[in-house]
Amino acid sequence: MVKSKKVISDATLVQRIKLGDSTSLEEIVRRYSDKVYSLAYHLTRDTSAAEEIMQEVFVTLISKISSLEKNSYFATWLYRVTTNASYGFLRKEKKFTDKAHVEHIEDEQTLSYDWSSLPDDILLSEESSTILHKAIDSLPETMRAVVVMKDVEGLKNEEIAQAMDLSIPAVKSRLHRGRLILRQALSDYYSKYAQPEGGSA
Amino acid sequence: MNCKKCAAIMEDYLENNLPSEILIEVHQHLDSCDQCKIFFNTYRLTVTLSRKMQEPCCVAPDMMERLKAFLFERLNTEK
Repeated sequence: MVKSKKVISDATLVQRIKLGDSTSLEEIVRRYSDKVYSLAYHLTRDTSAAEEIMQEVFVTLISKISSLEKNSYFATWLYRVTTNASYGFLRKEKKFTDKAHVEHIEDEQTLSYDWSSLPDDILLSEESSTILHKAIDSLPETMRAVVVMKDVEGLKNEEIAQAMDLSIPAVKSRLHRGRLILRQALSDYYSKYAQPEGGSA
Repeated sequence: MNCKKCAAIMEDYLENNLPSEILIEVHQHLDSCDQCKIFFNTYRLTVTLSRKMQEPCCVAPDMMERLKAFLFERLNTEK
């Protein structure tokens, strides 16, 4: 009979790391390196920076883990460290852009063209991917982090709120506004495929 | 249900977080309002595309080896 191996919780591993257990550290690195690297990459869109950030994040883990009061909050703490390190890179590289247009985004439903029915080869084209990436990169830092954490990395609102030190309504609000900006960018781009009304006769 | 409220609760709608009575109101509104239907379709697809258009990235084996070597060196210097 095959015995199922019991998975050790993050909280237990963190407790053991605090006591100097390097095997537990190795397990945490194995569990979280992809997640940390992916988040750093999608925030910076730079593979070298993402690798450096990942190293920095795990060094911070070694040096600061003793100050983490609730071991069960480890994952969101790690995401926070990753986000802050990514912000640091983006600020250094001056990759945050003008935020003025964000103030003018409203819940407007004046859109007349439903581009959702376009074929996949247009929706998923390289050009539309570039438009979307540029739009994500143009978001202000907190909004960008919330959108990437939710829509790219698939984190829950509660996890994002903990990681970003925001309330859940604040997460939802930034997420919604961020998505509106992305939707607007895609709408502007896809509008060139709109058929003029009555023009197909 | 009006257009403004319908747009404001889109996130809860996509997350299946709405109580059934509100859900019914949303569906009724979407059935009767073309503008909101377009807004909903394009909003939902924006979320889908955000996920689909990101290349999946994970730590390559050589990168993992560099990370482990780097960390265990740091760990030894901390001792």
